[in-house]
Amino acid sequence: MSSLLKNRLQEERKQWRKDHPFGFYAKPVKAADGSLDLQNWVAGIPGRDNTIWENAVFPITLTFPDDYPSKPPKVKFPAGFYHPNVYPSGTICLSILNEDQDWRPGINLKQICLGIQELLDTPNPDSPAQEPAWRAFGKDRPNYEKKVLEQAKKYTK
Amino acid sequence: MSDDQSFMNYSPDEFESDAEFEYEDDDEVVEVASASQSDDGVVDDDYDDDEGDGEFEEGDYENDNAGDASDFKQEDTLSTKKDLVEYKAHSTKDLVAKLSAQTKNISSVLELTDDNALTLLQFYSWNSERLMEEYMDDPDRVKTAAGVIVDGSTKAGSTFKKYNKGEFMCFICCDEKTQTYQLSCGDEYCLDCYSKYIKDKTSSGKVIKCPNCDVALNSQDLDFIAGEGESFKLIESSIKEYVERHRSYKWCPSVDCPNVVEILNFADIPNIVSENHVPVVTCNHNHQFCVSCSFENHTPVPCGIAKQWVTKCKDDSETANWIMSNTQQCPKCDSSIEKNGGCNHMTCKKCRYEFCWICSQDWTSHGTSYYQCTAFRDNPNDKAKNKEKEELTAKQKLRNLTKNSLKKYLHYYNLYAVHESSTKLDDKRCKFVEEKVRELQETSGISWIEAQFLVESAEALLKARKVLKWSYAFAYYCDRTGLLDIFEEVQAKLAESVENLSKLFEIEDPLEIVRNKLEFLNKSHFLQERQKAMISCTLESIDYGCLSGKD
Repeated sequence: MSSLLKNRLQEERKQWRKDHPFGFYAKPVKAADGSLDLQNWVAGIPGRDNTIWENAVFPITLTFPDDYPSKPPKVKFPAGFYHPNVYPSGTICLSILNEDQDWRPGINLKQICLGIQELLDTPNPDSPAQEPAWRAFGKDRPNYEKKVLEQAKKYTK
Repeated sequence: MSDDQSFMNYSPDEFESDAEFEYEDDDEVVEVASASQSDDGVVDDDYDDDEGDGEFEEGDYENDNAGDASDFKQEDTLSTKKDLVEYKAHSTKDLVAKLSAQTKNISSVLELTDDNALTLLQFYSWNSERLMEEYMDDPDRVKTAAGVIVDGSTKAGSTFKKYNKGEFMCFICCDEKTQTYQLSCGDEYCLDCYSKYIKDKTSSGKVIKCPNCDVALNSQDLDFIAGEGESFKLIESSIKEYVERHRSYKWCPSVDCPNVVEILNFADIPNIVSENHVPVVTCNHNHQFCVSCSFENHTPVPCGIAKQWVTKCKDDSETANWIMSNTQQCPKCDSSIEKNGGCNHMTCKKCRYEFCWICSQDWTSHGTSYYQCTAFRDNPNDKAKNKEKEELTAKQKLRNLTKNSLKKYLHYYNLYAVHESSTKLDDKRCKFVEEKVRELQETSGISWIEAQFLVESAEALLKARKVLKWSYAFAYYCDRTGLLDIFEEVQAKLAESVENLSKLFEIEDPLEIVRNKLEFLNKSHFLQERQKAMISCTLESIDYGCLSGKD
């Protein structure tokens, strides 16, 4: 691991521990030998209150590439996650996570997590990543909401 | 207005930025960008809103292909006299000047600083109409999106800061650094990270924003952080964006050629192409190319056929044809097998299946008749066998057919390829000879104008050879009719003249070359006549429907 990558990820961890938004969690995963793997993190994104996503914490994984922070981390929900901007593999389609769009090296973990929370209840119908959720969101809102509520139940706090 | 806007003061000969930044060596904060640049733009009454595509400002541009036939310039022989492309050749520098003019225009119309106008234009990929439209709707929204204002107020300026060790940690590298840069948004990073970030982004040609938020870096920021000339590099990348945005602009396809051609009658190109004329233009470095194909000048072959030929030569379809005509598939595992000698008893290397090369049947049924397949003689009246036989002959026929078409293709391809490599050799040879004569000019006082015949002859040779080369591709796609015989006669004559002139260039002794001046002139003039004949013969063949376009 390059020192730049290591320094930055340690700093991210330090900052997160010092201060992070309420209801969220984020931590590096433990490698097989018990040491921390700083390039792979797990985190939880709580749905906002008063939305169909409330009362649940949705798990994500973050994978930091070797050239982070020049390149953005790859962020995924569990495969098959129901959301118009989440690919069937679970990969999240969000402009700040796209190297060719709005990723900038100064964006920190907190901004990423808040961005994803924001995306949950305000999907972007112009860049669909999966068909079922996108179609239901546009054409059959009651069914969409039903599916989202069912999914939220699975991840209740 | 601040005087360090290198791009706006740009003139083709001196484009070095004259930006100068001062900073003191102590811990004090130094203002870099001036804050009061806005609102002093003067509205230009002569604003000309043709700016953009297809402008026609510099009078009626006449393509020099239209020169008359007695003119010694060869252009007219390569293109037909009607349906010409009208175009302007630009260098990258011309384009920079053009973009600079466009920026000035926008800044005066929208009453912005040149720097802000530049950022907005880059943000809108040089689409000034869309920028103006959206700006008139909601200037603040546009400015915020492009990052020229922060929180509703004009950018306050950027600062370069110095720290003592241990006072500042840059969030990108998470190291303690002593030199930093801060934009008006307050985000502050070390110079090293900033510089790396900018150099990463310059090639995009798009607005570069703060590493954390949406504030745009202007040219002073760029030049200060990444070194002078960085903002100019961004402009150069912008040109790529600009050329790609405007379909009437075409890059010269020659290797490493930085020139652009602007087509003035872009809408006519499809007509020119459908009339089987080749829309040829010449860039500032004297490269001729077809603007429809973005490929070398392929006169006399029409664009569609040229494309077909190039794809054919490039892809592996001929490999497939070869496999088809020279191999058989193992009846069991379908591996391709080439029989390169020996008897008809085949054993597949892959699956060890033993079969007969003639009838593709299992070898065991052949018994002891090792060298002659008897599979059909056994039961000539058997229906099933007869059917098999028919199938087999059909297969054989198909194989022969592909074998023939392969032969035809290879015949023309070889001719084409020979002339392609000869073009390269000619080019080398001509340059070598010109060099020799240049030496001679210096030593024996032959005037430059007297030696010009050599340059002209070389040009004529290269052009004619290109026409000859393409005529083989044309012949490949022609039906064999009486007209093709005439075509081939003309072709042979052209080939002969090309070889004759090419031979003259083999003379080593410079003095001998000069003595042969008349010969050079005669031969190249003759060559041009034959080249003309070739082109008109091609067009006639198309008119008579000779060109089938079939492989």
